[in-house]
Amino acid sequence: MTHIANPSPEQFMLHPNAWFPRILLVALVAAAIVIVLYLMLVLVARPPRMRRKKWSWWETLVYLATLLTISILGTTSFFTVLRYGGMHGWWLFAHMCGAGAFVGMLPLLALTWFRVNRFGAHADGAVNPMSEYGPRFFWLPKFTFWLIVIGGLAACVSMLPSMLPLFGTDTLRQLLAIHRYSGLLVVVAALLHFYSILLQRAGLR
Amino acid sequence: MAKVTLNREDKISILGEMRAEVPESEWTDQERMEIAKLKRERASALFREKLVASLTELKKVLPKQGATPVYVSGGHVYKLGANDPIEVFDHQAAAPYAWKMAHDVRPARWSTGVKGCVECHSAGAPIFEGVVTALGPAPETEPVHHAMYELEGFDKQKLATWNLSFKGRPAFKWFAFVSAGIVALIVLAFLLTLLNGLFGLVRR
Repeated sequence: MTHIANPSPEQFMLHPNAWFPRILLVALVAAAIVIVLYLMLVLVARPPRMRRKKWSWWETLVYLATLLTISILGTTSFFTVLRYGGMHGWWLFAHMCGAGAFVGMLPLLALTWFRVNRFGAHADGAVNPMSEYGPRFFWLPKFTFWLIVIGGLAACVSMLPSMLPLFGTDTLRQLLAIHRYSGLLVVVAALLHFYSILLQRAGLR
Repeated sequence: MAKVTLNREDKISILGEMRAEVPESEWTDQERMEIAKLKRERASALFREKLVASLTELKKVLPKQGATPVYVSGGHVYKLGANDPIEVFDHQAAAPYAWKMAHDVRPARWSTGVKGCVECHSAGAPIFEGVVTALGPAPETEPVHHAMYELEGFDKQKLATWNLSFKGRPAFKWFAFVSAGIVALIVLAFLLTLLNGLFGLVRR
């Protein structure tokens, strides 16, 4: 596969990796715009505040540890892609260490949080229970939670076969493209998820 | 460029009168080494003689005033010296000649890494720690040596750290596959629940 510095939009499917730095910037700016617009909407509309069940220490620990690993992975990859055009040296080593932690955290996150993140699920995870509490999350954190899980799975699954002597250079480049874009999805989703949790904590949702 | 043939006296000076008469195939390893050493020294001296003559002649015909003719071989630069007849020094411009051949074509089954990650990512792996000796036409008594990682511009400490991480790589792969399997099952359960909910909506 030929590497080209400035592919045309028509060549995106042929050269997804060459397009990545631009799409990364667009995605981060778009996430920032969504955050600002949604905050304005919430401040104007003021939806009714719900009484939500508190998080246990385990739930908090798993969530914060996952956020930490995603922050490490996002920083080591996106900063180096934007600054140096690729990930090398100690940055790559740090990314690999972060990836090991993320691979461990992802099933813990999914197992700990999947019940209460089902659409229609209430405080304890059951659908339509007789509970004094409202759902643990509103639609945005639920939606972004599943984006984190599905994107995280795609990011893992695209890199695992790359560690085995199975594929040639072209397929490895395609797997890298899947890894990069699914990683971007995870970072943007985590950003929006954390923001929506802050909204809940601030009593705005 | 500096092929040397030893005469009988040379052999006697190294091996003694008795052994000098013995055919070469019957020499001991020690005797072979000593003869080879003498050949190298003679070749180096002969080469320098020829080089002095060549560079002196070349200096006469160089159009630029004060220009110094040099000879580049095996990563070293040779020029006419002020005190010694020939001065040898290192120069960045000579570096590319330190390793003239890097790509021997080999079948895929001999390719590096075909036996697994640690074929490269382990201490002493030839791809990083193999020593390259520069061999030019000039007979070098002290040829330039470089470890592969130096030529490739890698940091030794970084390589050692990567090697360390590859010790646990097989276990990590298993761990990652199990982890991905668990997450895939949860995602599948979520999608089925979602699908079930959608069908419920349609039925209503």
